[in-house]
Amino acid sequence: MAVFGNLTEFPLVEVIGMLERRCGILRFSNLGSYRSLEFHMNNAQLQGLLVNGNVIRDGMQAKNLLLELANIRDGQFEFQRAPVNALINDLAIGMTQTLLQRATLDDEWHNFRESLPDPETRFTLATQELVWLDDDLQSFWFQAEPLLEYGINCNDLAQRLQLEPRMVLVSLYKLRAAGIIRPVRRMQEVSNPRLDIAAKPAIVQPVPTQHKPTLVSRLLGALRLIGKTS
Amino acid sequence: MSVGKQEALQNALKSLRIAIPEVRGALVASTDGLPMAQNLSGNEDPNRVAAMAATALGLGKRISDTLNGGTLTETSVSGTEGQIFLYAAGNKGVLVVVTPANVNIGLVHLEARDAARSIANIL
Amino acid sequence: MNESKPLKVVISGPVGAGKTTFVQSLSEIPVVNTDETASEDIGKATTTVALDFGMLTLDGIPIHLFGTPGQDRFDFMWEILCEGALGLMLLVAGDRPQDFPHARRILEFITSRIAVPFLLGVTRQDLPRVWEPEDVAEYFDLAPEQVIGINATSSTSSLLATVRLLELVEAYDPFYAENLQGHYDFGGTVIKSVKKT
Repeated sequence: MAVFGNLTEFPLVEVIGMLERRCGILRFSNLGSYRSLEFHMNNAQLQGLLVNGNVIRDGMQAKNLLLELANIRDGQFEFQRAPVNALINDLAIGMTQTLLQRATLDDEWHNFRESLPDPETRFTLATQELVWLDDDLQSFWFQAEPLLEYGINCNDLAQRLQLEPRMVLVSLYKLRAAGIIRPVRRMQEVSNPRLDIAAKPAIVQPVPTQHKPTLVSRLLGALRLIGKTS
Repeated sequence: MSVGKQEALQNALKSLRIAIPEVRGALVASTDGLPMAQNLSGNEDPNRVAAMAATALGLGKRISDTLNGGTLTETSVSGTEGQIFLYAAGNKGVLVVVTPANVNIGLVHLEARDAARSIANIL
Repeated sequence: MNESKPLKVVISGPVGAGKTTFVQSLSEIPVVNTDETASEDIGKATTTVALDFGMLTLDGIPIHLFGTPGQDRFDFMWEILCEGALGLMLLVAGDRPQDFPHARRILEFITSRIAVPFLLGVTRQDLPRVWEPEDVAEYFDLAPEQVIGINATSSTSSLLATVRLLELVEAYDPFYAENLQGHYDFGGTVIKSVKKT
C-alpha cells in the first residue's frame, strides 16, 4: 500500500523528509493551480518533474516551483516506489534544502504550525554531517549547537539564547526536517534506569541469578502461552 | 452554544462571585473537558482548567461508583494556598470554584451547589 | 521481592486510534472507563476524559493497563500515567495520516521527558487503504522494530503487540521490570513502595 495523505496534514518538507531514503514517484493532485504534478525522486533528490503531464527540464524553473509549493497547504499526495531506471533523470535538486529556504517567520509559523513540536520536547544532535543551511538557520545553529549537544527544549533554548520562542521552535523544526537534530529519547539518555526511577531513597535490588528467570521473561512466557491457546 | 446560553452561564458565575467575594475564579466546562464560560482572575488557561476539571470529575464518578457512593455531586482539591471545588452540574457540565485556603467551606458549598443546579438547568 | 506487586503498561495516542478497544481486548476484568459524551465532532459519541483501566495477569503478576485520553488538552494525564511505566504503547490509526503529526507530538513530548520503553502500534491494518508500519516508522523517525501493525479489535493481535513491547523492554534491560515493581501507585506517582493493607 502506498504512502498517501493531504498537504493540509503534512508540510511538503516533511513528506519529502519521510521519503528521503526511497526511490519512486510522488504524485500530487489538485495542488494550487496545478492539476497534476509528478516528482521523480531518489534519496530526496528531485530527478524529474512533470507539471500537468509536461516534463520540466530547467533546474531554476523546478526550484521556483518547489518554493511555490512550500507554501501551498492543500492537495492530495501519493507516493509509489519505482526502480531508479523507471524514473525521469534530467534534474538534480536537493529538495529538503530548497524547501527549507527562509521565508518570513510569520509565514513559516503559519505554514508549519500544526506540525511543530511541543515547546517542552527536548532535542539533541542527530548527525555530524552538516547539510547546506541558509544564513539565518546556520547562525541559529552555531549558537544552539553547544546547548543541543546535551539535549534542550525550545523554551529553555529561547531563554538561554535570548531569542523569540516562536523563532526557536520553527528553527528546531527545520533543523529536524533537515536531519540535523532529533528528539531526545530519555530512555536512551538514562544510562542506568535503576538510578532514574528509584534514585531516592536507595532501594537494594536483589540480584537475580542466572537460573532464575527475569520478570520480563516470565511475562513474555505467559503472553506467548496465551497467544498459542487463543 | 447559543449566545443566550453563554450569557446565562456567565451570569450564573457572576452571581456566584458576588455571593462569595473571596472566590478567586470560577469556570463551567463540559463533562468532556471544553470550557463553556469562565470568570478566572489569573492568567490560567481556561482550556487546561476545563480539561482537568473533566478528568477529576470523571475519575471521581468512577471512584464513587466503585465505592458505592452513588451519583457524584462534588470533589475537591486542597492546597496550602487555595482550594478548588468541582461540582457536577447535571450530567453535562462541571462547575469549578477556586477559593483561598481559609475560606468558609459551608458557605461555598451552599452557594456553589445552588449555582451548579442553575447551570444544570441552563445546559 | 513481593511477586504480586503490579506493573503498568500505558496505552496512548490520538482520538479514535483504538486505545479503549485495545485495553478491552487485553483486559481480564471489565474495563473501568471514564467516557463522557463528546461535545465536539470527533467521529464518535463518547470520549475518555481521565483513563481506561484494565488488568491482565501474567504468571501471577498483575499488569495494570492504563489508557489515556486522546485530545491534547488532556496532556497532563499522559505524563502522570507514564511515570514509572513498564512500557508505553502509542497507537495511531493507519488510515488516518492526518493524525500522525499529533501522534508524533504526543510521543516526542512523552519520550523526551520520561524514560519509558515504547512501541508504536499502527491500527486498522485490516482496512484496504492504510499506511504500512514501515512507512509510518519513517515519518516518526523510528527504527522499524519499534513499529508494529495492529488490529486492536483482535485480542491475538493486541497480545502480539504486547509481546513485541516486552521484547523491546527486555532488549533494553533484562531487569527493567524488577527495578520498577512496586514503585508506582494508582495514578502513577513514583513512590517508595505500595503498602498492602
